[in-house]
Amino acid sequence: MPIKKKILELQKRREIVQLGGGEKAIEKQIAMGKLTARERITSILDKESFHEYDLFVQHDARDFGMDKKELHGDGVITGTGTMFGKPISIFAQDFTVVGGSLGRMHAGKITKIMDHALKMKMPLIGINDSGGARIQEGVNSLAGYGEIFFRNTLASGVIPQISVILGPCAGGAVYSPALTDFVFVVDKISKMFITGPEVIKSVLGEEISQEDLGGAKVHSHITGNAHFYAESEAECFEQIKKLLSFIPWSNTQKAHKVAPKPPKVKTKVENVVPEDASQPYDVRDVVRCLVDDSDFFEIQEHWACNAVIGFGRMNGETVGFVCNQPLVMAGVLDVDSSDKIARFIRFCDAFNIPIVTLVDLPGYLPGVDQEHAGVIRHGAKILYAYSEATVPKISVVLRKAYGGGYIAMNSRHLRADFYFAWPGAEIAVMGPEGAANIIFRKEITEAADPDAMRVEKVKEYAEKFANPFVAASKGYIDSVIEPSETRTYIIHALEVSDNKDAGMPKKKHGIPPF
Amino acid sequence: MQNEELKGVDNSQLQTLVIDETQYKTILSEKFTKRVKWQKPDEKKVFSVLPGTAKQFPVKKGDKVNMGDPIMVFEAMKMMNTIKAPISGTIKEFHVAIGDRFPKNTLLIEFQ
Repeated sequence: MPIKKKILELQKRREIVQLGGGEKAIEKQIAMGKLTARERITSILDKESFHEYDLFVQHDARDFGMDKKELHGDGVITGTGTMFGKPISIFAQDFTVVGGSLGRMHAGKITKIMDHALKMKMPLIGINDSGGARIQEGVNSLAGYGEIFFRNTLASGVIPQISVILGPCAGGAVYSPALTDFVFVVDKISKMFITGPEVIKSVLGEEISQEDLGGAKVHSHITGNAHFYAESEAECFEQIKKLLSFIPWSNTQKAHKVAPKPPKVKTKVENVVPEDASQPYDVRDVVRCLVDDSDFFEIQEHWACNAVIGFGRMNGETVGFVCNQPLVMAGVLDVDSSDKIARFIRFCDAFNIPIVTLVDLPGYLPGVDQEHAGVIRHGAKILYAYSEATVPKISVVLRKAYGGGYIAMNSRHLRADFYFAWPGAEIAVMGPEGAANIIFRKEITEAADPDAMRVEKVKEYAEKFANPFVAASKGYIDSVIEPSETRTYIIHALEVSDNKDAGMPKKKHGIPPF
Repeated sequence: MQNEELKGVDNSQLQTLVIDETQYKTILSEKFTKRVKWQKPDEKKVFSVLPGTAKQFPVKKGDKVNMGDPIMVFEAMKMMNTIKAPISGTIKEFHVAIGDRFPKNTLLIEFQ
């Protein structure tokens, strides 16, 4: 047979297989408001850059009539392409082929591309749109999931792993996204849960819709399982590209440096923060006054909002920001915000991204629910993550740092490399009101006018201790700086930290309070 | 800057949170405002820890039981589960009957 004929045959074969579950199934997919798996891949990657592998893979199931079924691509598309001209590995489950259900060969295609990603040191993007395990393949499909989870764990901290939930992702399948670094969800399309509404109804008698149980809003606003929430697939793809513009391709590289730009926002940073420590402000406005082009890319913006995390650039270099948010819950640390902060620190540390911490917090949130939810072990995660992080760590106290919260938020004692404070900063065990009531209890209760005495003593304490100079006199603060100097101090600190060697003790691994 | 100048934040959203006697003006999270107030558990009341169906009562109203005696069997998660008496005492009341389906945190049995 002449080669021309063979080429024609290949083209024909490709055409058929690339149609996935066929035109009817594609119509259904579109009717659900979803793009096809192939469209999703080509929308995320650079134009014309996608190269597919394992297109002709076939399942080898024999039971339950499966031997008579041909499943194109076995329900998943895998390959490599580029983003910003740099290599990316990607897979997308194809819901049009038996609901994107996962069998042995389907999983094999995914693990093959994961192995490539790990070997070639490039990010992995996984698009999930699957009804779950292919029941007909029995334990083989469970084995497939296990092989994926193992590789997620192996690749964790080596290459960035991104999960995009664009359809159902139920049962054991949810654990692959949960093991990856960033999870993207889209309103009305994403659905994630361990046990679905039907099981819940039959076992527990509780009725709930898929959306209310594990929709995009649930995971971005309530559970914290998702990091990015979008209204549409198109918006979601833009978020993915933006995220990848900030992070390095592997743990042996630094993030791509861009041309430095001054902040776009011209507000004086000291004008963002009210002097009165009891008044709120949005800490993101402070970040925007500091970062290049005022471009701050927030992560998990709808969950545990009393802490703010995200990426920005300082002098062209990517920096991870960790901030207390006085606007929500006065910026306290609690169970959820501790989890949020600790995991982000781990990501930054694994991928050579310096961390800038903006401190303004009254401490930990009091309450039975917090104590019983284990705020001790959750709060410990922040201490652990900061202490163990070896990337450059810089803190700026904007207004107040009280109690255990002061220690936790990248204090000098946890080996912050540079610790700065604005002149109005209060670094103390607690606020003046609480402290004065304890220290001067006797004077206050025995005074002829206890209220007047309390006011006087609070004032006395505030004047003596509610300032940065006590901590500065001990060397706990490196420099008390003017707010307008913040950006230049951070940039300089980053410059001089470039060759940092933290000299950590050798160990297999620590035992973090997971 | 006063808080009314906060961009995008409605002043009415701001509430007071007291920590170590300092009052902070801030937005309270839903999780915080909806938290369940803690109450000391009443050891004379037995509540369901799982939703289920009442199957059997090895004791009757007025019976004296010792701590650890089985007082109820219920079906949940496809298993028969036995509830043991949390204290020694007299059974005052059964709040469910055999065959009743009950959700989590339902009062099942009361001691005198």
